Amino acid sequence: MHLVLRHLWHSVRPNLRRRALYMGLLVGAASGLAAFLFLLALDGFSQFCTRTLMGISLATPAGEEFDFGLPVALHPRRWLILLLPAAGAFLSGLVTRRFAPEAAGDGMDASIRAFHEDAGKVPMRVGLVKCLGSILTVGAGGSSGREGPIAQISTGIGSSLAKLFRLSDRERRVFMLSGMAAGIGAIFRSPLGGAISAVEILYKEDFESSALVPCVVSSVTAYTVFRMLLALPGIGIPDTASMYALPALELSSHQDVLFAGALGVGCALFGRLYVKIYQGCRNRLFPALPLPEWLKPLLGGLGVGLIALFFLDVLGTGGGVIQKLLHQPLEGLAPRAQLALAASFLVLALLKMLATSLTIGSGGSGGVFGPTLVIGGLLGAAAGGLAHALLPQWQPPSLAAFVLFGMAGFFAGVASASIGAVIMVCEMTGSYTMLAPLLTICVVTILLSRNVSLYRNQVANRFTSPAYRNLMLTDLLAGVTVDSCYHRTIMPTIPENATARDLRKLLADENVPFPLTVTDRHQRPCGILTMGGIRPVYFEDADPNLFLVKDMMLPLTTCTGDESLAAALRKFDRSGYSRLPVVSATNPAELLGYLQYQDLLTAYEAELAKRRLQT
Amino acid sequence: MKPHSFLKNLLPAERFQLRLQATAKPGVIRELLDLLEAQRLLRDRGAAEQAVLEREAAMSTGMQDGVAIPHGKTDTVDNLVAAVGLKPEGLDFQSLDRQPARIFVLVVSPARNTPQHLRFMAEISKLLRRPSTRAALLAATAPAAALAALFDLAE
Repeated sequence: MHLVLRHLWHSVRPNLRRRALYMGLLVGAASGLAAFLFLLALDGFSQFCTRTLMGISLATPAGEEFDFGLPVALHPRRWLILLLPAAGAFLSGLVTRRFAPEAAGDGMDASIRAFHEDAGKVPMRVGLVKCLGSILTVGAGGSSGREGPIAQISTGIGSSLAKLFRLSDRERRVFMLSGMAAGIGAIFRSPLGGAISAVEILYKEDFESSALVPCVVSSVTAYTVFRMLLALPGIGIPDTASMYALPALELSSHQDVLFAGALGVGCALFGRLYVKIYQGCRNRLFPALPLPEWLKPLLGGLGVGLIALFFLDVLGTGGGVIQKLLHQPLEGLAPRAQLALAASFLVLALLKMLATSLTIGSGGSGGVFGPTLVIGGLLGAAAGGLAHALLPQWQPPSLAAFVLFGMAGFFAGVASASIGAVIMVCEMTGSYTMLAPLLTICVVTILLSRNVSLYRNQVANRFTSPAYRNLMLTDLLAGVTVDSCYHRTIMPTIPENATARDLRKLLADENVPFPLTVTDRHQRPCGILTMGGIRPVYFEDADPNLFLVKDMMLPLTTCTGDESLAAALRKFDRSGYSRLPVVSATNPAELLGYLQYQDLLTAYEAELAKRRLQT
Repeated sequence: MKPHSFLKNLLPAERFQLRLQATAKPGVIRELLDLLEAQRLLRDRGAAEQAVLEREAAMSTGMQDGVAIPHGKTDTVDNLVAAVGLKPEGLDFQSLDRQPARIFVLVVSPARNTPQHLRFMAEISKLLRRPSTRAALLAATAPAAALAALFDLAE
């Protein structure tokens, strides 16, 4: 039987592998297309809001300079800067409330939850509503990211395709996750970073290693499709462009690593602050407000508008802010000017934290992932300005390098995703030159950021994930009844009034299996006699006339055929017996047979093999 | 650990009744239970009495040499409790050797605590198998002397 199972298992495996490839391609292609459409819609609406209505021009990443040919207002309209983010968030709140309440808040966190708690089920409806809500929120100026909605729609694609092909829960989780990888890989143009981040972000200290290959397949596919679509005539983003244009960077000296490590300490500290502000808004401030839920995003948006009156750069995804920082001239400025720049970057970083927390914490749609990279970049830039002003003799790395360090380090700390952040930053900027200092800063922030996480649905590791719970002992045993595996043989019993002398005779004459069931004078089970229990009587040289079996027995524990093996396991655990009498469920006096602890292990192994075949 | 410290912890001097009044088995059991009850060791006196009497009905705990160890298990006690009673003139306890019993050890323990229950009875019965111990115990006039006699201490 075992051999047959093993043979079956091995013949199915290659199919699973091949399926991972096909599904990865499918999920990737669909997600790449979705990311492209979402990006166009978001940027179109965003340019309409900012250029045409507000009359301002926000910077964009070099790889996303779309020209929609929209008219530009001649003068900034301050009242629209104040009110539009609120209006967008308000509309977004109405849309999500009406069509998919679960689409409010951070999309990445929702996807993480779906993986752990909900067998990877993400309805397409949620993804679509999320995208619409995010276009309204972010396009109108809300401080939020694009990867949240794109993750939710691409996880929806993976999940729905898995459902269409009737795949198991386990595979649905894998392809839902490869959807996430595809979404991130496409939107940030970071194929490897997307895949690694997806498998990393589920856990605080673990990787979902089984999903890595499908994630890489889908992420690379989505990235390729996304870039092909961007290069279409009429869109016109060069096919070679990474998201950000980077000035020439070189690893100047070993000091880069030292500066990165020092910045890591700062990133960890500010990371704690950011998580505090974000959680304070999401869990305390807005839930405590005595207002209807649909009104709260408006309030958050109003807060963002208020900040934007003085600091335009907090608006939107903030991708353009990073682009500006990467080309910010710093060397050659007077130290005083460098310090002033550093201070302005720091202030902007703090305000971006606040604006993001207000936007998403109030129930606006979007993601915290993107703003986190922006805040990190600003913190890095602030540290760069400080280093150049105060320690010029140490030859600090260029400002652009500091920005990259900050992006990767800050994100790694608050998202517990180190390797993904490093690779993503390298891929977004098209340069791997800074790999060593980037890894350094991530290690430092991760080490200093224990118990800090933006994502409340992240779990510690696979052992604590409900996704794996169905492979655990008790859950497997919960589905199997005692009936299916107990021995229908009545073992010898012993009457409670037998003396120690009688028992000794019985032991000498027959091979009596312990533990023995003790019966009362009506032949009903009433106790259990264990080997350990009778030891004092025979080994302490006691008077055997003094003891009856009744004196030596331990309390009775029985089980019935309709009980699950999980319930039986608890009884074995509590009683400490290695064998339990099985009695009739209707008449507890009637002995039917026995169940051994060993039987549970056998049943567990069989059930495990069965589930593995199914998945 | 000193020898018998297990027994000594469970049998302090106040658990000795040197001159039992009773003249028959049920009276002895009741008198020793009275002693335990007075020391607030029994939550449910009736249940303890029933457990001991039921056990006695199954088979007498009177053994050879005038020693009887009436005992019972009930979950109305939290720990093993025991008391020693003496009746130098002896009384009928339906013992194995049909001789009168003079030394009585009453034991009541919770059902879960079987190993301790058995160990206590095994050790006390072994101790009382020595004629000199029995004689010294019966001759004792004060609980401290009885305690010393049982555990073979020089006064």
